[in-house]
Amino acid sequence: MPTNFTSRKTVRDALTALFTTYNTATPLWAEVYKHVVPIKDFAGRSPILRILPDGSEKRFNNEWTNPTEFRFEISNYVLVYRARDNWSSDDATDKIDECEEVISQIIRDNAGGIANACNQLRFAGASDVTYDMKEGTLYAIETFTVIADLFSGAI
Amino acid sequence: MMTTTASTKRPSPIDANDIMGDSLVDNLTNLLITPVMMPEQQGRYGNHQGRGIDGSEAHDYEAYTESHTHTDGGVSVTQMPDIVEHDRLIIGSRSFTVRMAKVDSLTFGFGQTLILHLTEDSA
Repeated sequence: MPTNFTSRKTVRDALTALFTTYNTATPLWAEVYKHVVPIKDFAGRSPILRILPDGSEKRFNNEWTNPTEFRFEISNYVLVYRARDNWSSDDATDKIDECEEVISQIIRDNAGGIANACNQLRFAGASDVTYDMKEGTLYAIETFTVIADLFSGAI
Repeated sequence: MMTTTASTKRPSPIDANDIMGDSLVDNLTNLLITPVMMPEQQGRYGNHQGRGIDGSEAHDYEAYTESHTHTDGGVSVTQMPDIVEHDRLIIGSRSFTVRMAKVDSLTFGFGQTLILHLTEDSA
């Protein structure tokens, strides 16, 4: 009899929805993406949140359970400098700290899982902040790895 | 040399929530520029074809303009066009993101040239 697994897309959609719901009520990001971002949608916009799949692990313990880990890369992009808006690197640093707090809070508030998607959410280690040119524009980028645990990945 | 008619759009300014560029706002019209050209045609750069963030092919171009009569925010002006990084340059059905806009100071004594480094937007 074939095993039907909960798809990573289902969990990624549910994880993304946590952030889009927050962003609707309390605007923080210009856009929340769950895929790679086209140049024309990226250049000059800020902050941008991007949620991508980052691997998975499935264990087949016995006939009935298939504990599953889905990993996701959550990257927060903040434009570092824009003169015409008086936006400075100081503002960008404050903003990336503000976003870090919100991201942490959302994951913590859903540590007990997302209905019909996963049983728990957690971070995998520390986040990482880098500064990188994206299509000619300097962004501060903080990347988190989030693990969604499914006690049994099979439906 | 400026035989191409173009227009520009500018990302909306920062809002009360510190969010930048949710939408593009019409900025310049009746803009005259040189035809866009691939920079390697001038022999100054190497390969300017690469991959965009979304994995699509990304081609870099250059174009030039100088002070001339055009429309800025609905008002006719005669000046160097106000084009800055992140503006979109629209030529017909094609759209380009301005990666850099710099005045070429080398020609200062003869009138200034605005150099535009462009990346064509993926579909």
